[in-house]
Amino acid sequence: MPDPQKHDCAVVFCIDANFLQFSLFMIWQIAHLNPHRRFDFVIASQDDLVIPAWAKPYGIVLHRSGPYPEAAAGARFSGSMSTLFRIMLARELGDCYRRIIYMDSDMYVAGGDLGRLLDIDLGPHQIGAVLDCRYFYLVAPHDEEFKAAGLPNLPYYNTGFQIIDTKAYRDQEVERRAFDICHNTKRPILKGDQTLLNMALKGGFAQLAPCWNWQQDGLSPLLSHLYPVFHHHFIAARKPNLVVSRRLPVRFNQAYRDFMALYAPDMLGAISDQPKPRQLRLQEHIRMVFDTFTAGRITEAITARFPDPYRAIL
Amino acid sequence: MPEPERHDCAVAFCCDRNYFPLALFMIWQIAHHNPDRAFDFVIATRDDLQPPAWAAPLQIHLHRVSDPPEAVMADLMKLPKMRRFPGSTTPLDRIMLARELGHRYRRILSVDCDMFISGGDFNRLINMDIGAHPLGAVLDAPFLYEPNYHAREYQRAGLGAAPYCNSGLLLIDTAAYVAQDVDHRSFAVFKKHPDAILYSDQSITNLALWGGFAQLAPAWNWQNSARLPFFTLNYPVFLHHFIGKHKPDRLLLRTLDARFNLAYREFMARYFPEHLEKLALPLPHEPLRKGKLFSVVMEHLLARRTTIALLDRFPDPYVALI
Repeated sequence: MPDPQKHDCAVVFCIDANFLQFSLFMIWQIAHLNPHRRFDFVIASQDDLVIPAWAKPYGIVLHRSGPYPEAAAGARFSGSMSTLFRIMLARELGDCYRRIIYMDSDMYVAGGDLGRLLDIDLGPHQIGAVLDCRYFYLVAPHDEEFKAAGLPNLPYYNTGFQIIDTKAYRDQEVERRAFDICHNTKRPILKGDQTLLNMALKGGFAQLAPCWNWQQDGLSPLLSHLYPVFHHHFIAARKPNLVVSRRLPVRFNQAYRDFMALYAPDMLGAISDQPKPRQLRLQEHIRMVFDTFTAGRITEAITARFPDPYRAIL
Repeated sequence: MPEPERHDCAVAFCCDRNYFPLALFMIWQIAHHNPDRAFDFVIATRDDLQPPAWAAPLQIHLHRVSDPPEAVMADLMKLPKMRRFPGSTTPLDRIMLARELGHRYRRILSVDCDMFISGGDFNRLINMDIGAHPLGAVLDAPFLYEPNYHAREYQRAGLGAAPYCNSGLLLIDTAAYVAQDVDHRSFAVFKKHPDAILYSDQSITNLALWGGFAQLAPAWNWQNSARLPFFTLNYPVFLHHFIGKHKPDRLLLRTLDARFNLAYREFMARYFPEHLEKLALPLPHEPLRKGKLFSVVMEHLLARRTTIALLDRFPDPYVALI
């Protein structure tokens, strides 16, 4: 077992240098909430990263991601190619880790036993993941890229959080199938790795409870009011470090600020200012009430399918 | 065993064995958010408590609290509101902290156990300028939604309206507290205004000080998580205080965010599994219903001006009004 690997499972982040502090923020949260963890932390990157002294006790494994196929350049997402590294994890790390949880670095960790999640039954699937955000405000949405490719309305997931069974993933050549999409499609790839993996798997994944990858905070913060969420995922541009939003709860921005003040003061200037405290206006209240009666019902129907967050729908 | 290293400030919890796990929950959170802390953790108690092995690195100091003076106990027993003191004088213990621990600590942050820590720099909080006041504290909940709030204790005692604090979080300057005799003045309230004592130590401290305390930003003791849950979308809170009987471990109000109960459940599952069954079960995962939503929205709209006017006075959470 190569040093510093210690366990046969890992929580992995794929980043470029810009996201290092945000992945450390998540590791800091996960380690606190999982004091008896039986998994490693891995940061995969093509950049030269240095783990700061305070984070050394976490034993973070730095992994140098290999090259991706040239044709994958079309799957660049938000100006970065690092989103594609996750597709190669099973091949690159599969000899070390039987299971990998891949996590985006724009998340806030509120709870959840990741050790327990790593061992759940995925059935015949290579991947376990949460449905994409549109499922929580539209009834059975048909993904545009599936539609354009002539595919039926199949489950479509958000790739920000995935459990990967490395053996099944390799045996079933998910990496090759995903990158083949780059060769086989003439249409633009709109969502980077998410497009490639969904097009490759065509709905064939184990569905995890939405609390593992909750994507609704920026639009409808009330939807999680009575639903305990483990991982808040700040999708698209609605990130606590970037926007001053009236609806994205300011506690996430505050958590970033507190963390950066402690461990990366140079980054404080890059965290957006907080809005001046104020009550919501009448129309904002109405919007929240409206959301609760529309998206709330749709979300409730999905969460009801997951009475136990440690059991996937296969 | 050598005496663990000590700081000259402390975060203290007054609790009996029933609240011990929740005190440890608080310490566990505070330590996480304050890795470079320059303060001790103290649990002041009359029970024989033993911190579990996992908490050893936190170097918690157990302080054996003395009983209140006999005369105070006698006055206490005479109170018609004895049900407020259900078999325990624990709430009164914090009144004695400054005299009992003042030789070790120049500042003590006394914190209730029924809170949730979201963040905040406790080193800065503990060293905040509170002027000549013996303590700093946050105004009580009604000041956020009731304009010109006049506390019932003050009314009953014939005192005019004045700031009235929630005693769930007290930043105590031990020298000033002792020099100004706040403990004795507090206990004297038993004789002076027995009819005005409604909430144990909180009533007593407020009746003794009658507004004479430094006001801290509400972020340090946010008591409106259940009543004004939407307000914190825009206002960052460091300590959520679950006032009254609606707490994440007991009765669950539908307006109290599910994350608090989740945090309790996960902590107990990890460190006190035998306490898990005592926790309130999570509510069904469903959106707020029409009637409840309407009443919560109305609460917010009615409170709007009062809340904003109060928060505008605290542009910096690390500056107290003195």
